[in-house]
This record gives sequence, C-alpha cells and structure tokens, in this order.
Amino acid sequence: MPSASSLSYWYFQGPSLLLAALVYLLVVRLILGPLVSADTPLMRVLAAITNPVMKAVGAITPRMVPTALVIVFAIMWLLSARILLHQAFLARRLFGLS
Amino acid sequence: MAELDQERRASMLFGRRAALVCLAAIAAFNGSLHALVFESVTYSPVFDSVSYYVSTFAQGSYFDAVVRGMLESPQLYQNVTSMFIAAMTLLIAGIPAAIYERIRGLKSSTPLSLGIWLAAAVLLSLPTIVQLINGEEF
Repeated sequence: MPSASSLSYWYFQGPSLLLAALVYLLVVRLILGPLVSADTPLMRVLAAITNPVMKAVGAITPRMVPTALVIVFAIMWLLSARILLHQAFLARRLFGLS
Repeated sequence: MAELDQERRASMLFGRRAALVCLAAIAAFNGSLHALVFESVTYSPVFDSVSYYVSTFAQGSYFDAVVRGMLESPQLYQNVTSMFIAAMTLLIAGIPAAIYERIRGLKSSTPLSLGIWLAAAVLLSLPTIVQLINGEEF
C-alpha cells in the first residue's frame, strides 16, 4: 500500500480501510460461524454489519453455493475491489491528478 | 417406480458433480494452477498483469513482510496470482448463471444454470485455451 499520510489521501484511505474492515469481519464470521450460536450478541452484530455485503454477493452467486462459500466469495470480491481501488489511485498519481 | 426415481436422482447428482469438477478444472487451468504441480509454464495472457497488480497491492503490507522476510520466497506471489485468477474465473463466470436463476425465480440451481456457469467459465478461459492450442507460453 502507498506510504502516504492518512489525511492527505483520505479519498483513497477511507474506502480502502472500510473494505479492509469488512474483509476482516467476514473472516471472523466465517471462523466463528460453525463454533458460536447465531443468537449470541456477537454473531448478531457481525451479521448486521456484514449482511448487506452478503446480500449483494448472494445476488450474483448461483444458488447452489452454500452460505459459508458465499462468505469466501464476498471476501474475494472485496479484495478485488481493494486491488482495483489501489490501481485507480496509482493511475491517478501517475497522471498527476492527485 | 421408486427405483427409477432413485436412478434418475443419482444420475442427476453425478451430472451435477461432474459439472462442478469441470468448472473447478477450467478455473484452475485459467489460473495456471497446473504450473504449481507439474509444468512451470503459464498460458494465461493476463497472468503477468494480474501478478503485477497483486504484488504492488501487497507491497509494504504484513503479508509482503512475511513473504519476503520470514519465508524468503517472492515466488509465493506467483502462486497467489494463480489462485486469484482461478477464484475470479469462478466468481465472474457465476454472474450469468445467478442472473438466469433470479430472472426465472428459481429457488435452487438447475442443470441449465450449471451449464451457463460452465459455459461462462469456458468463455473466460478461451484466451488461455487458444494460447495452449497455439503452444505459446508466457
């Protein structure tokens, strides 16, 4: 990742941090899913935060894919989005637009 | 009658599994996962550019520090790139099948939607397949 201060490139750092946080929350949900009951407050908070992403990814995923795999798919889509965002940021700097 | 039903169900299950295996094989080939096992050549025309994107993205991250510092194996980026392309082939190829299922209002996947998924994966892998046929490696 670019070694820019967090405030000078907020338009890049903000969305990047948001995507990273969602990736980590999805990883936690994937790990805790089989271990912790869905009724616990932790899992309910995790589900509330990550469900919009899961619904969006679920809409572009065939129905035969199980929920746990949809979480993995969501992580992959978010990572791709971060890579694209990073490339867009680099291209912007390359063309002197920053 | 029950036996016939059971036979039909078993053949459908076999067909579904065969389609999934084909899908995984096509995605793995597009991502050049075979290069990790028996042949160190890649036929995918996008491999180098994706490898560049992945390595520039990871630069300065903890992952990069572990790969270069502790593992001393920058080669790992090639493997990560392979897995990334294979996974994205599966994900992108699934979009037309998912749209078909939503339009038809299906509650579960059908052999046709699996076929759409498979056909989309083949279409996405077409440049790699052409490179293999022409014998041009990267």
